[in-house]
Parts: sequence; structure tokens; C-alpha cells
Amino acid sequence: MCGICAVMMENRNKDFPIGCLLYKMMESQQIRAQDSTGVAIFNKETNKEFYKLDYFRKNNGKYNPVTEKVPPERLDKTFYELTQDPNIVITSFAKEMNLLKDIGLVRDLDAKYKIRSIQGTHGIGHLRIATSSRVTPDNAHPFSTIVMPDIAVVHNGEITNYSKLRSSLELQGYHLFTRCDSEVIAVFIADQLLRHGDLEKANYELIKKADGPFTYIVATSNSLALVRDKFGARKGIFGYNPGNRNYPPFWAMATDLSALDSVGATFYVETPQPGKPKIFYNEMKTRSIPN
Amino acid sequence: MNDADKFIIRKAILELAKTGTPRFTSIDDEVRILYNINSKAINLWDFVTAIGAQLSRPPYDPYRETISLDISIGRKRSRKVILNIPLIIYGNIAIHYSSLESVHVALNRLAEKGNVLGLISEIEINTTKDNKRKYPLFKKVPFDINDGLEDYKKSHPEGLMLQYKDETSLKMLQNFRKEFDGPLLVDVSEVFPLYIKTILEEGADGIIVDTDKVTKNERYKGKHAIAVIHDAKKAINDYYKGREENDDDNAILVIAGDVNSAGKIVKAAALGANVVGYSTSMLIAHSNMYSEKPSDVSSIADNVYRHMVGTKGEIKGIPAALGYSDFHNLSPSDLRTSSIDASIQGDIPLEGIDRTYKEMIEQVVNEYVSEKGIKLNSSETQEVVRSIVRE
Amino acid sequence: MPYSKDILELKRHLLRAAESSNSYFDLNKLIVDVRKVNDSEIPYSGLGARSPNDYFPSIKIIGSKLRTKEGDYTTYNNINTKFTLGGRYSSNIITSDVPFFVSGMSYGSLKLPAKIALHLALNRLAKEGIRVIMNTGEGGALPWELYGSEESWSDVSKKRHEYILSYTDRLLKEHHLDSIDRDNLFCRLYPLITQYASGRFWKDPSYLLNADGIEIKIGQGAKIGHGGLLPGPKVTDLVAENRGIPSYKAAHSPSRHLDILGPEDLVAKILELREITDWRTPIIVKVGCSRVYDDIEIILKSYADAASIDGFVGGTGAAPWELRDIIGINTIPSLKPSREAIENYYSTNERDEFRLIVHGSVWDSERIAKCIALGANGVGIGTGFLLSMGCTLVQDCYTNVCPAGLTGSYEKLDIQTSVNGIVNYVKGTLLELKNIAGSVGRKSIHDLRREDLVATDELTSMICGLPLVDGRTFKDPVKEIVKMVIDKRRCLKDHKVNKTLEDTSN
Repeated sequence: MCGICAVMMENRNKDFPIGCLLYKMMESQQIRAQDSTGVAIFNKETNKEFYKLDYFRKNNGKYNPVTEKVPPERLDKTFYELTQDPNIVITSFAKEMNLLKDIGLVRDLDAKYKIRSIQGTHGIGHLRIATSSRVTPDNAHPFSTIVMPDIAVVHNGEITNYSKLRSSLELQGYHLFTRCDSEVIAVFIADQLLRHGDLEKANYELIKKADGPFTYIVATSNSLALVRDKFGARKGIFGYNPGNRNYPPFWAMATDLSALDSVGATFYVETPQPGKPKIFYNEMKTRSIPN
Repeated sequence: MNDADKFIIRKAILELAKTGTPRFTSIDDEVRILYNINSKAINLWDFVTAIGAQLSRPPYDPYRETISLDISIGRKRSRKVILNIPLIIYGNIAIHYSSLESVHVALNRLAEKGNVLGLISEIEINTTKDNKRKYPLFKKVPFDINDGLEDYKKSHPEGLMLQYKDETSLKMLQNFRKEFDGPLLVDVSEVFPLYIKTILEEGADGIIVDTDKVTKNERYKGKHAIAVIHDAKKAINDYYKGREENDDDNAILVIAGDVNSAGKIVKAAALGANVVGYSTSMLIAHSNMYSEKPSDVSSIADNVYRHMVGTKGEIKGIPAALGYSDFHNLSPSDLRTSSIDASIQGDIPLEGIDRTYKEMIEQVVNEYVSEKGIKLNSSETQEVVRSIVRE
Repeated sequence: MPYSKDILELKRHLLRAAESSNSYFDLNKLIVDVRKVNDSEIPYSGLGARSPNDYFPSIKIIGSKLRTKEGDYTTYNNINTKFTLGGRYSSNIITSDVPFFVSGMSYGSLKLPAKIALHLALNRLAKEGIRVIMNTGEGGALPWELYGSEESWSDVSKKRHEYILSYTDRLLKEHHLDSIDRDNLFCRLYPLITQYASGRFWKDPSYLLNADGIEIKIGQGAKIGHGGLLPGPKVTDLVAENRGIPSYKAAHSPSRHLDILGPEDLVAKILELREITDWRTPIIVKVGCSRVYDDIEIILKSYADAASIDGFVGGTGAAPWELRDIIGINTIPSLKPSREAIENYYSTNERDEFRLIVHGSVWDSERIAKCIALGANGVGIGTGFLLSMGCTLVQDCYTNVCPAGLTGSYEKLDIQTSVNGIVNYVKGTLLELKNIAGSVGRKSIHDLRREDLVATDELTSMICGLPLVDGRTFKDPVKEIVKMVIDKRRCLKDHKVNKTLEDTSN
């Protein structure tokens, strides 16, 4: 029940500080939610050899963020060790994703991590007002999964049948770290991608299975998908900014129109059909008119 | 507000309203005496409630959004049968032929309106040309069948219902699976909770458990339908553990017996039942026998039809109020209970603390142990919990 | 009972069929099945759910007495029983002299004479110095409730004024109450809370502006997740006119506010109402008890002055029978999580004037005291007031027939007796409350604490965190068994050691 937003640079432009755009959009939506904040920004250049693993270590109610670089051969062992420890909450498993989250306002997150200066090809942002799970840093969005690297999900609304989805995922052997319904989206999408690799099909599958009013944005290393539930109970819009001499063209998505206005993405403003995912790939050269 | 309390409550308030001066005893003092006498007589189902959708989860509105009740029966190897209402008419009531006939007519009328539900029956219904069956029939096969399947194929049933008695029934199941391509439901009430895994491995499409029969077994003596449904679902989940989830491969759980009102249907579904074996329709048809002026088949069928339409409205409304647009999304996490017994038998969280009785006891044990610096191994912890919970 | 001969006949046959077959059958619910057979509609019922365990009888207040000395009721006259609402964000504060009030019962579900009796009784109490808050319920307010003071008429246009008077005339004439004195009627001395429900059954802004408080109703305990409901036969022309809906058609409110889907929508809605009322009026948010902790947490974050929770047994005019009986949790178990949510909020935020109001299965003073001791600030009573007017609890409030003349058959109700009943009920309950607080040794009813209570059974002790009657808690037997297990282990160990010693010695 929150504010979500996302930006995707056209022409695979990766030098632009995309964090700045996300910051502006989140700031304009801050009125919606003030509990916690998070962003996930994708940049192909960041690292090649290592997997980056972010996790919180819980200690007497305090959450200490830890970042670990893991070479591929040690990955299974690390996961095994970390999932055995109930005080560890893995927040991000990435190759090219930079996922930062904490409680507080977007201002606080920027002061802590300088998100405005982070460059990338695309990114998502989230402002949370808690509905069912508690306000802690590990329950902040975006959610990632250890099933597959570079998947991040921001979510607005509620998956009402989440306990059913969760138990069916757990029956299959997946490990979930929090009691938040949004984590289920990330694991479900990753599970589907492992099966057939088709992001659109994965999203359709989730729309079929998930109940309740929701809008979510799922980001992978090369795409962003904006999805609304089958009744369209929750908002979600996207728009296009054609760019100028100072900055390249980009697509933006958000909950509120004000967020699109704040970054000038006021062209081709549309809302996705309920139950039909709207997917943007960053391989696309240009995309003048959305279909 | 129990029927028994009503009198006390009314008496107390009327006394106040008449005099306007303080009473001698409060409502609770008087009710307390009553509870000690009556508490045992209440069906455990009444202690189980569902938690509705409010602010943290918006409810759906059955007048605005479509609430789906559809369920598909049949796994990979068999043809699929779709039911629009998750009910199969099934009951161990001694049925007169004419009652069955009126249920048949009612089911046809329902199917014409897009409300397909199933029927489990042993007796054949003579269908004429203009009275064809429009709903799926699951023909009941008794224990001691030695000859082949040919007899059962004659009436072209959509599915078969086998009764599982002992190891010999396995052979029968294998034979039927080989020859019959429709859904096979297996009634395991006689052997519950054994054999479920084997039966599912042999390709059965669903398990039928009659809670009424099971609770009369030695193994489940003194337990309630809640425990039976919970254990049946657990057995099915055990079978699926570690397997990749596949939409075409879902074995269904049919619960019959002590589930005969919309509220109980929803509670049973939340505990894990996919379809409910419903006997009330039969009973309504059957009640005509006791009438001084028995009606004809058509008007009894009307009764059954109207009753089912009302029931459908009820079981659509409740999931919507819980925030689901699909009846089959109900899960045990939607239930709460106000009875320790129900919490133990069905692993249902207690209301207010959202944890089961067992979890609470475990927590106390762990707290106490860590406070005293004692170390208990897991079997000892279990021993403590078991002796408190008295399982 | 309003059932026709056909229905009763069907019921008899079904009963015999059920008895002759060996199947399970819930005989209490037989009538539900018969009604579905009769008209294929969802059966409705009135008042609260059948809860087999509402915990109240399992709680005792240590040393409390309802009555002190025979004939002398003024022993504890100085006990404070005042209740205030508002002041967290609102500039106005509603004060009441009793910690309980009339919860929402609308015109439509209650017939006019019953509503008038409530109005007159509260006026009389106010004149005697006992102000009791009244909630209008979902179906709009009556003219004398909204225009009960001189200043409320100031902005009313002449045309509107005439309409209000003519509507009043028609209302009174229809119910044969023409003899009522209009000046006496158009005078409201008690605080009024109007309900802002998903049906939006009101026609002009005075509904919000003239009220002393606004209650946003998200849901109610009897039908959580289901909108308000008034069956067709009860929507008479005048009720329909008051609500602005077609007459003789069932009034189904949406199950949710179509513009409140989540917490941020609630914040927006409350801010909107704050703007309309110029930040004067206190705003309450009412939810049915389900995920209480989460709901209260959200209400705390929105700009509300109070949260109101409605338990499983909370009454209603009409609700689908099965839905009423299966959805919701009881009042007592929801008090602890709501208090926890409030305390957790205050642990990181400044403490302010947030109020928790409780409804459902509260009928008399002892139950009010128990709710307050467990953390409630105020208590809403609906059925209790109906009972004091003569309600017989047959639960047929969804029909036009009522043995007491409250929700139907309005000719039966004698307004004057009802007014006396209500006045006595409030006064008696107030005296009892004072006696309870006084005999426990408190100066104010709000000083009652958890420590004043004991539970009589294990479950209640577990759910409310109360000690048992003998001073133990549900944890003690568990600890004893842990000790036993450890002793056993020690014995086994000794046994083993002895055995090995024996072995070695051999």
C-alpha cells in the first residue's frame, strides 16, 4: 500500500545518474507513505566476476547491513550457511543490481547511500506504508530473491492469498526470509523464469494465481514490467520523456501522475490494462508509440 | 450471544431499565455458572471463525467483482471435469429412487444456468432423450468388485469413485486407472490416514474423506472433523513435498460428513478441502417423503435448485469478505479459534495472539529453559509440549 | 416469528428427514436451509453472532461490587467517569459523562419511534447532567438530530428550511406521532457522531458540518468485509427519502469504501474531511475485529482521533446469517493487540490523545469495566439500549416485524416507557460503574488496570495475559513439566552411571 516508481533509459544509456530521477519521483510521492524507502538500480558495468550479496544481520532488534562478494564457486555453500542462520535476512543477490533500502524517508536513504549519484540503465524505487508486516529494514522494498540473481520487485497493494502462494513455494523447496507478501512475487517470478525464461508468461501466471488488489514493478537485468491486478483496483501509470540536449530520453512509471510530472515524463501517458503486464526491454532502440 | 445467555442478558438489562439502581449480580456472574454446564455440548466448528478483510486488506464485493468458485478435477493422466460450484452431492443417507431423480433434475437445471456441480451415486438414473445428464456423475464402485470395469462404463460416467478398504483395493485402483481415463476419486474413510501417498502415486485424482466415518474409527476417537481435514491435507502436502508445482497435477481433497452449511464449507475449504461432499440437497429431496401431501419430482427439484442457488450466494459472499476473488484461495491462515481443543486438532491460531496453542506452549518452554540456563534437546522439548497438549 | 406456514412445514419435514438419516445435522441452522429452499435468497439475521465463547464470563474483577449499601447509592459519588474524544488533531473535544455511548443504529433499521425515544432519553439525561454520545449509524441522520440547535439553522436557506419541516411532518404523521411537541423535538443537548459509511447515505453537507464527530466506518463486527444492508421491505418511502435511494429495494452498501483501498487512501480521506470541517471535528475510524494490530497501526498513522473496533458479537440490523456467524474475532482477544499497537506507536512517537473505543458483546457495567481495564477508553453499546427499550432478542431485525416494536411493528413501542427505560439503564449502569471502580479502590473508572482482573480459565489467561484465579498463570504447569523432564533425565543419567559402575565393578 505504497508508492512505487521506475525509470528506464532508452538507447541503453548507462552514464546518466538515474538515481537522481528516482529520487525526484519518490520525493513527489512521499506524501503517500513514510515508513521505509528503497531503490534498486541496474548497471551492467559494475562487476563481472563476483556475485554481490547484501544481507541484514539481526542483533537485539538492530539490523546491520552487510555486503559480501561471493565468487560463483562458493555460492552454494554461502547460501547454505546464511539460510541456516535465523538472524540473517538476505536482501539482495545480484550481479549488476545495486539494492539499497532502509526505514525512513527517501531523504534519509539519500543521506546514507547517496542514491542521487548512482548511475545505471534502469531502476526502481519504493516508498512503504506498512499494512501487514512490521516496519523494519528487512521488510522494506525492493525485494530480491536468492533463486536467481538480479531480480527486484516493488509492490503497491496486497497479495491476499500470499500464505497459500508462499506455502506452495516452500513446498517446492524455496527459502523465504520475511513475512512480507511482496517477497512472494520475487520468488514466484524467479521460479517461473527458471522454468521457461519468458517474463511476460511469468507475469501472466502470477496475475492468474495472485489475488487481491496490487500493482507491482518487477525489474530484471534487461527489463522492467509494470503489472496491475485483474480488476485494476490499484493505480499504475507510465509515461515517456523524449529527452533533450542535457539528458537522454527515458520511460518512467509510477503510482501517481505527480511523479511523472516531476521528471517531465508527460508524453504517451497511459495506464496498463488490468491483468495485462506492460514490459519495457532496454534492448529496444526506440519506442515512439506504446501499443 | 448464545441462546442460553439471551435470557440472562435480557433479564439483567430489564431489571436495570425498570429500577435504575445497581443490581446484585452481573451478567457474567450468572453466565459463568451456565458455561460450566454447557461448554461441552457445543460443536467445535462453532469455535472456529475466519478473519475478514478490513483496512489492511480491502474486501471484494460480490456485487461488483466476479468471485470464482470453479475447480477442475483431474490430474495429468485423466480428462478434466470442471465444477462451477465446489460441491459434490454425496451422502450416506439411504436414498429413495425418486429423491435421486429430483436431485438429478435439479442438477440439470443448475447446469443449464452455468452452475455445474457433481453427484456421487451408486444407483443409476434412467435418463431419457430429453432428460440427459448435464452434470458430471461420479459412479460409486463398492469394495468387493471382482469383475471388470465394463459395467461401469455403460452409463458413461464422467468419473468413478472407489472405496479403499485394504491392500487388495490397490490392485483394483491400478486396474481402473489403466482402463478408465476420467477422474478417479478414492474414498479412504475406512483406512484413513494410511495409504494416501500410495493412492496418489497410483494416479488417483482425488481423495474423499468422510469425517463422519473417520471420527467413528478407533484412531480418531474423540476427535473432530477439523482434525481429520487437517491431517488429510497434510498427507496430500506430504505427497507433493519437493515436487515442482504443476497446475495439471493437483490432486483434490473432497471432504464429506460434518460439513453441511455455508459456514462449514468455507471453514473446511480454508483448512484444505477443495471440494465438499454435500448431503443437504439429498436431504431436502428426501424430506418430501415425510410430507402429508408428497409433491412431484419437478417441484422437489425446484426446492433443491433454490436451496443450491442460495448456498452459492453464501459461499461466494464469504471469500469476498475475506478479500479473495477466488474461493480456492482460502487458507488455514484465515482461520482463528476461541477453543484450545480446536487449536490443537486443526493447528488453528488462537484469536488475539495469532499463534496456535502448541506454539504458545513451545514458546513458554523455550523462554523458561533459556531463563534457567537449562538445555533441552528437541525430543525432550517435544515431550514437554506433548504432555501439556495431550495429543 | 414471521415465518409462513409453508416454511414451518418444510422445516418439520426436513427435521424428520435429518433425524431418520444418520447424517450430521446442525438443528439450529435448519431454518437457514429451509429459507433458502423457500426463496433461494441468502438468509439474513439480526443482532450479534452466536459466539460460543466471548471470554467475558471467564474474567473477574478482583473485589468489585455492583452494589454497596442497601438504599444508599452515593458512596462512590466522586468517582470520575468522564470520557473525552478528540484533541489529537481536532480542535474540538467531545465530552461525555459516561464512558459508554449509543453505537450506530440507523433510522431504517430502527423504526422512527425507537429513534425518537433514544433522542428524547438522551436529551433528558443531558438535562440531568449526564451527557451520553449518540452515533447516527449508516442511514443518515434525522432532521432534529442535525438541526437541534439555534445556530445549526443559521446557514439554512428558506427553501431547505421548509423542506426539512415538511419532511419532519410527514415522518411524524406516518408514524402517528403528530402530537409530539416540535420545539421539544428540535433540541439536541447530547453530542452527535455521524457515520461516514461506504453507502454515503446522506444528501447535504450539514450531515458532516453539524455533527460533533465523524466516524468513518470501514466495517462492523457483525458483517466484516460486507457492506451495510437494509432489506427491501424496510426501505419505506420516508427511509428512502432520508437516504436518497430508491424505495422498497434492498440497500446494499459496497463492502469497502470505493475510494479507500489502503492506508494512504485513508489518510487522504481523513485529510479531506478535516478540510471540510476546518480541523474542528474529531474523526473516528471504525473497523471490525480481524487483523486488529495491523488495522490499528494504520489508523494511528492516519490523522484520526480515535479508533473504534467492533467484535464478533457486535450487533446489526441485517447481515447474511452464515457470514455473520463465521467472520470476526471476539472483543476481548482483540483488545490486547490493539493496545499493543498503540503502545508500540507511542514508543517511537509522542504520546497524544488517541482513543480506543470498543464495541461488541458489551451489555452491562461489569463488561464495560472489564473492557476499560483491558485498555479501552470508551465502549459503544447498541443491543443494551435496545434491551432497555424492551428488545426480546428474537433476532428478526431484518424483517418488518418486531415483538418489541423497535425494528418493525412500530405501533407497539410506547415512547414514554422506552425513554424511562433508557434513562434508568444509563443511570443504573453509571452507578454500577462507580461502585465497581470505588470498590476496587480507584478514583476514576479509567484507572482500572489489567492488575485488577483475573482469569478463570487457561485460554483467557493466555489470550489476555492475565493471571489465573489462584495467582498462577498458564505458564506454571508448563514449567513444572519441564522440571519433571529434567529430573527424569537426571534419574536416567544416575541410573546409567550406576549401571556403568556396576558393569565396571563386575
